[in-house]
Amino acid sequence: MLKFIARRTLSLIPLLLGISMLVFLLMYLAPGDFLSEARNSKDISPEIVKQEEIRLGLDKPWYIQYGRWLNGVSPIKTRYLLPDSAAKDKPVIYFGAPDFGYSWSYKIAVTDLIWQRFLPTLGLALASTLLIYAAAIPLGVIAAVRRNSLFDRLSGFLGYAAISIPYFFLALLAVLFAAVSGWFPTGGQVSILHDFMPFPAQVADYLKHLFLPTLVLSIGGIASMMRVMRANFLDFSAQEFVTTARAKGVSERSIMFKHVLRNALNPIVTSFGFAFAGLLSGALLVENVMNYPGLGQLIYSAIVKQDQYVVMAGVVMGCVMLVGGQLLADILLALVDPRIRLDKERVPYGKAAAILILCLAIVAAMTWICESFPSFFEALKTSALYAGTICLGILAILLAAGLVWAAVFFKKNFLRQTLRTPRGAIALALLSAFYAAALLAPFIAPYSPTEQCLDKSFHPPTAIFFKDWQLRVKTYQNVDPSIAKYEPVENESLKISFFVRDEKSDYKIFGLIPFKVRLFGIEGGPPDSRVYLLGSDATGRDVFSRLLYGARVSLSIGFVGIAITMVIGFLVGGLSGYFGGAFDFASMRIVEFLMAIPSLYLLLAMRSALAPHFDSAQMYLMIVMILSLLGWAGTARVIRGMSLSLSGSQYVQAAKALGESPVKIIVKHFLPNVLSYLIVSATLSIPGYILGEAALSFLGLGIQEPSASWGLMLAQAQNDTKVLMLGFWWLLSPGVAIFASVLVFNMLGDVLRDIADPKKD
Amino acid sequence: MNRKRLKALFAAAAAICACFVFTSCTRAPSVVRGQYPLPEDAETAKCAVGKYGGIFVLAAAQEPKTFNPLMSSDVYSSTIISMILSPLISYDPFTDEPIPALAKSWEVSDEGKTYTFHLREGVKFSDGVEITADDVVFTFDAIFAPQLDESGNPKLDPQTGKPLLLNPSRYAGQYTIGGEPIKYRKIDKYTVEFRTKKTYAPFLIDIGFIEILPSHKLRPILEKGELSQAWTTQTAILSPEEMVSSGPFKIFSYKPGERLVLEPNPHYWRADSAGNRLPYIDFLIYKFVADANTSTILFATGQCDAASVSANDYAWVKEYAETYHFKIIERGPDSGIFFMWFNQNPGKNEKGEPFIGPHKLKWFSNKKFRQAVMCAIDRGGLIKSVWFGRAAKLNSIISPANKKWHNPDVKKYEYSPDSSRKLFKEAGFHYGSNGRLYDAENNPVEFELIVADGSQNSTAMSTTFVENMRAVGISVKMKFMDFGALVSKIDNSFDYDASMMGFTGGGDPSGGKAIYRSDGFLHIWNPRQKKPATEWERRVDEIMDAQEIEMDPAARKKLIFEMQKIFAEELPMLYLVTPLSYSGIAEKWKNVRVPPTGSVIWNIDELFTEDPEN
Repeated sequence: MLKFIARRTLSLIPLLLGISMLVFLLMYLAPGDFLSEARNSKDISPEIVKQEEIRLGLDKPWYIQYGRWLNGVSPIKTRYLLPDSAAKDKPVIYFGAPDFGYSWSYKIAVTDLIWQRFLPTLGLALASTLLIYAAAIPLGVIAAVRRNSLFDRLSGFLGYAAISIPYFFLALLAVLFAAVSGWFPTGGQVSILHDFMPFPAQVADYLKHLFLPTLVLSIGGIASMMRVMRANFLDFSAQEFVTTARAKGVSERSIMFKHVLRNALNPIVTSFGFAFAGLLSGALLVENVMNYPGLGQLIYSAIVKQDQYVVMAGVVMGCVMLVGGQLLADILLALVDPRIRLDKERVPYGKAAAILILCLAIVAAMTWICESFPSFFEALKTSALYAGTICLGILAILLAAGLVWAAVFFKKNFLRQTLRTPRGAIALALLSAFYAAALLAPFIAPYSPTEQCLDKSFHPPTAIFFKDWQLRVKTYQNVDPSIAKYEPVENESLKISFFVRDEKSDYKIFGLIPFKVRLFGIEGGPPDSRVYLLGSDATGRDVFSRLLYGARVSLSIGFVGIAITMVIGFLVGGLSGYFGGAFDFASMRIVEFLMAIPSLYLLLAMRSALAPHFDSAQMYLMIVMILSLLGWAGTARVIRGMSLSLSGSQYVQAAKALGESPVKIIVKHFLPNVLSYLIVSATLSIPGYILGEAALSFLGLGIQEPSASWGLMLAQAQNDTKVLMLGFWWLLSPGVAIFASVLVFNMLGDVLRDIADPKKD
Repeated sequence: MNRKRLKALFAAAAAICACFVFTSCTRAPSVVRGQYPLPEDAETAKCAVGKYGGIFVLAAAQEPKTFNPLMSSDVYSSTIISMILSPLISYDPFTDEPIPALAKSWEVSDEGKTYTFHLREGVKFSDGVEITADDVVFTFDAIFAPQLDESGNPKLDPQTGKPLLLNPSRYAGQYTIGGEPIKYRKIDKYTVEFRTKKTYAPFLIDIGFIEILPSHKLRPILEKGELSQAWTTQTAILSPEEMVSSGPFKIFSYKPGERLVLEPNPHYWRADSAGNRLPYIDFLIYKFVADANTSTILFATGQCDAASVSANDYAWVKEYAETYHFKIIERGPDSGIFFMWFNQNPGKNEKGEPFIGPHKLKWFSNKKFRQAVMCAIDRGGLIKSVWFGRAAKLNSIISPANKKWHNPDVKKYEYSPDSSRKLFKEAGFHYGSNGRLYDAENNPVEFELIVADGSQNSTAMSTTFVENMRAVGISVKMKFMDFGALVSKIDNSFDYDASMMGFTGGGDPSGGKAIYRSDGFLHIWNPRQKKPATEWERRVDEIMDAQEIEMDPAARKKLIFEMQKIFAEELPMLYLVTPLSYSGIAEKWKNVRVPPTGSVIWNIDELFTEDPEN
């Protein structure tokens, strides 16, 4: 056991080296630096900025800055990497406590800062984990014991809903609830007068502030844990030992609690580590929206302000916690399940050392190259860009082929069975409707997504009624412009016509044939009369139209994303399973690397590094790329396992013996075997992309105005407090749209899984 | 589940509920008052006599970055520093005239080149050490302390030949008048004299910017060369007693990310007419929150005592005024300006390519083009829709909030797409059959607008701008970028067409030199010019030089008015709108006097509540 822990801890070192270097480089590539704001302030003269630059070491190239950081963090230091002023009286190599540097914006040591913020986050994650276990286990057991009862069905449905609701949307609603009801604080870790309270009141104060964030953070976890618990419990109740116990006349209560529950609990308890690690990254969004002063909030603002060393320390911290959580999970599993032996594998000291040396060598080589050939980096950038474009092209062809194949396969093997289940049929029908609406957005939407009407800001949805065989829409009057209050005008309405001609529309079918007809709209009437199915936003743009256009982004991002993920995941996984050896080793290390990165942090860093080179349309592609580049690792791992077992099968051996090329073997023999898995896992991971895009846009780092995306539209509802406070509820409709589409995908994925793997449930 | 367990569960739940109730009954520790006698020279405040006690809570979206006045470069740090340290003289926000602070009186002689200040006698820092002329001299020593090399000679900047400063701060530049640092000397224990090389009209305003530093605490640190690392946030966390105070408050405790608690300075130099030393408040607490939205919510739900409320939020905050007993005061337009501008930099980059295409430069440097664009911006519509009418059109480079210097009589541009089209045609542009605008060489008029992402106001303004331009046949592409990226474009690589941003404003127009003067680094449409590119820019430079030595306030005002007229005519910056600002304060606070501009709690030392327990 100790050996295992030691090995895992050692393997952290190259991982952290790699990640810290990556993040440092990304921060360097992001335009501007910590002093950007000072540079453009009229109170600060350029000379001061210059001196400050030298003091912070920002005038040095990134590899020297990174070297200095590394030197500070490592317990063994060398004076060659110190700034000149500090280097004088130090020995060449000396020992010292790890020093994570200094926060530029808070002007205190990063270690102190992180420590201050770590405890609230830890508290939040622990409280959420506890809540998840405390709620999910009993609920799951009850659902399983009373299988198919009303409770089971209801909790099943609510569970779906709970895992489909985006964290940040829920957080937004919770803040609104706290503000309006006044029962809970709207943020912070403690109340203002905390210092002046007696001890029990201080504890209560903490709990009160912890309550809402914990609830928001755990709802998704409770739902998924409950489903697992229910499935486990059912599995074990069907086991033979239960029948035996029953036959022996053991009481039902004793069977349930002593025999079934204990067994069913095992896997749940061991997933503690994973759950905990996952919560830490979920905390970033929740902390930001709910204003809880934890690590997530700190790191997010540090990334935005480019407070370099705080970001570095935060990312390292996040990694350690993620890996620590996985380690905990492994250890727990070994403790409960005697069949698992952690020490069985031999410790690959040689390999670990090799990786460490390789990493250091890369840092050294980069430093040397950049030092000696200043233009090297530029050249590297350009060639990376070209190589990237070519790869993209190849990937695009593969993607198209993959998608078509998957569609054909889906039709052949899944479609009929899916349609046979009511849930599947509903999900498929809804999905088709969503996609059709997105595809035909320029036709269905009554207005262009950017068309403003400054007279009608925050207009509520217009009432539509049926009279004299006509659909008519009420007209409204702004009775109190100081709070945008609209009231319908008595006896006044306008006719809604269908297939209206709109000269302002610049839609072209397939980008070629101009098409100036809209499904519905108002013809005649005063020039600014509008039909707002879902109200309007601050500048009078139609929310319904923007929602439709936003759907194009939000819904397609999942498809493009999973296509990339699945192709890369299949290729890497398949090849490494087939070849084994060095390729396998290398690719699996990359996979582990990707899986150990706290993805949201990396996403943020990558976005800000790449952003200035792209405009809104390209940004869309970039988000897909980032999301899928981070997402393929899991798929690759599973596919590798599958292909490993497949390559032992006789027909693959036979094909090998006949001299078939590896590519042919992989495509012909592996692909059909894993395609079911790929389709199921693709369906289940699409929601991740929808939520990922929404989260990025919500943080202001994704799709930008004037384009529309669901996350961006929600962000506007959050940034403008009056939207919630004056009750412009229709601006929350993008949240409902995200929720609905994620729900439908989850439903479909579940149905597909049942079809592909009929043993379960 | 059996009965016993149920009972235990109920007991636990009850205990938790009890804890929740408990949170509401808390009491702050009491503050000792009147243990030190008032000095003879203490100032008697002209406010109503109040009552000691009470906690005043403010929510701040930004934390102080330092407590060292020399290092402070942001308004959040400066505000808090002004609570704990006093300057020589301060200014009256009602009259904008200098009023006594640590100096009780002063004389101006030698044609406005010599100033003599008389300090209050017997006034002490919070640790009981008297404030004397030595502290004033030390403060300026610290500002101008040079960097020394090994042999003890001042180090010189290789580029400019000027000595390098040990503690570079904005004050060194501010107190360099006519190219030379101001001269200062101690006359006696309570008298200091300042001399400037040439007459400098805003001297009395400027001298109040720097708070007087305690020589007995900081001189040893300055001599070690470590003053720039003194009085950081870390000092406030670990040893707040080190930071002696001369202002109304001193630091009680600081927890970054949570709150800063200030308590009264027992040696403060102001008292009320009954001889009670100010301030009345027991504790002043800054609670740090994530953003301005949160602080507004805290104020609106009665959890803090004062806040500035944006025009955006006013609509909903006022609905809570009765429930939580606060009032909101309209403060008129914001003192900052918000504008868009076209890049007019004619320079070339390292590769010899022009920063912007020659045909575009031709449009952008055409005054008629800029005026035409200005006429096409629907600012009135924006004000109505986005701010519900709570904003004002900007017409001058100095906001109407700056009543002393704003010129209301400049050229104004009303929204009219028709006159905009007419102006375009006059400037040599023409319209194609598709409604698009073309220049004389038949280039379609299109440009890219870069905007820093973030603020919802700039988003609304830029999206509306794009739509407005479309209406007059111009296609504008909008690009959001990080503030850092934006700055490097407008300040460094100059490869952009047009952009949009805001500057904070207020105060003396000399503070805007970097914007107005052609060699200024914030002359953003074409910064750091070697010599003025156009006739009107030359004239503005002249005006800025002239107003600095003009001692007659009326003549100075005339000059500043002329400068604003030129800017409104030439439109290098196309002014957009400025939202109205509002301040809210809880009803329980008495002695509140709201000045025309600036903080609503500028006289925090005079505020008191009848009911300190609540």
